[in-house]
Amino acid sequence: MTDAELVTRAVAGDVGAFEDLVARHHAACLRFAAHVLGDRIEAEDVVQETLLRAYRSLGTYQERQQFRPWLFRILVNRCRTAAGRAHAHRLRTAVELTPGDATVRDATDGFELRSRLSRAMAGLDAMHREAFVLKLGEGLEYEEIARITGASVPALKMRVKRARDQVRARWEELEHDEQR
Amino acid sequence: MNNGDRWDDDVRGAYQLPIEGEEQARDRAIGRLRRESAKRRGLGAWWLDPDGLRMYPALAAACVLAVLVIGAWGGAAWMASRGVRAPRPTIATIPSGSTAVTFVFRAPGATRVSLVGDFNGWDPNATPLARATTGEIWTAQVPLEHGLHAYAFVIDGQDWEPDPAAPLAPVATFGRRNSLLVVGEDQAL
Repeated sequence: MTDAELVTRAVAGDVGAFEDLVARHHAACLRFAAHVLGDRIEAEDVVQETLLRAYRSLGTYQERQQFRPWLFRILVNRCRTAAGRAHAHRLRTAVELTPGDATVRDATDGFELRSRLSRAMAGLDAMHREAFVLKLGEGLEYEEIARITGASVPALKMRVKRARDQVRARWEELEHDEQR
Repeated sequence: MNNGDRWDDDVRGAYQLPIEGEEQARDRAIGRLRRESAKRRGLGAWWLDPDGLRMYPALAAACVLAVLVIGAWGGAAWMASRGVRAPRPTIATIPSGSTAVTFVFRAPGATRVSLVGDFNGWDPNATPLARATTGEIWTAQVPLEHGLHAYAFVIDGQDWEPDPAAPLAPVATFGRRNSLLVVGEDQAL
């Protein structure tokens, strides 16, 4: 069943249909929030808030929209709010997504890669991090990212280029250090 | 593939790695949604909830009957005061614990009318109504299992309308109201 069909059922009052949508998109939302916020626990809270907000707003959802970009627009806004909150209380960056943090430790062989990516992204500000993750992580088109973030395509291309150059330089340094 | 593309793929691969506790986090999110859903439906939720009906069958039946009687009486009085004779679902008993219910809906100017309800997964394409010769009346006959059903009509694939000849469900979902129908042996209330 397509997202659009599930949304139609959810709008009609079928809560199970919305749960199917959650099951389908939760992992992508959590991944995005964890990389943008650099905090697994905060990310889970933000994703829950996002899904609740989406659930309450289903009545305003237009069928011509695609569900995932619509959901990500809400998610991006919630992440921005959470990032502002984090600045006010404690500045926690992606550097903390390291092997020392048990809450983010992966039980996969890719732990080193994830750790390297987290540390390489640590120097990015929220605006560049958001664009970088949507483009290189999620693989979205610039037009789609523009609809999600509200930024123009030229501005997004500039942000992604700067972020990519910065992350890549740091990534190669870390890779070099790991090989020594 | 050049070095830049390969690096992009490495980054994508690292990014896409599953996050620890992903499934548990998803289950917690769904649990929170269920609580939210129950809160939205409020005290009236239990009797539309299948679990609620199992727990309080007598109370549920009494409430449904009260709503139907009051709704039917009020609706009839309202229509009589305006000289309106609304079409009503009619019935014909069929075997196997179901009843064939004929839904009738007046929709002037509509090009397409369909029936959505808990019995067809709220799918606007599942049960189209046929236009009667008069042009404004649309009908469909649907076999329904005995019990309480919520339903509505969808006009031209967009406008969601409850049945003016049936009582409304007490709970609006996302701002939309549905109608209620009780189907039993030889009767549809």
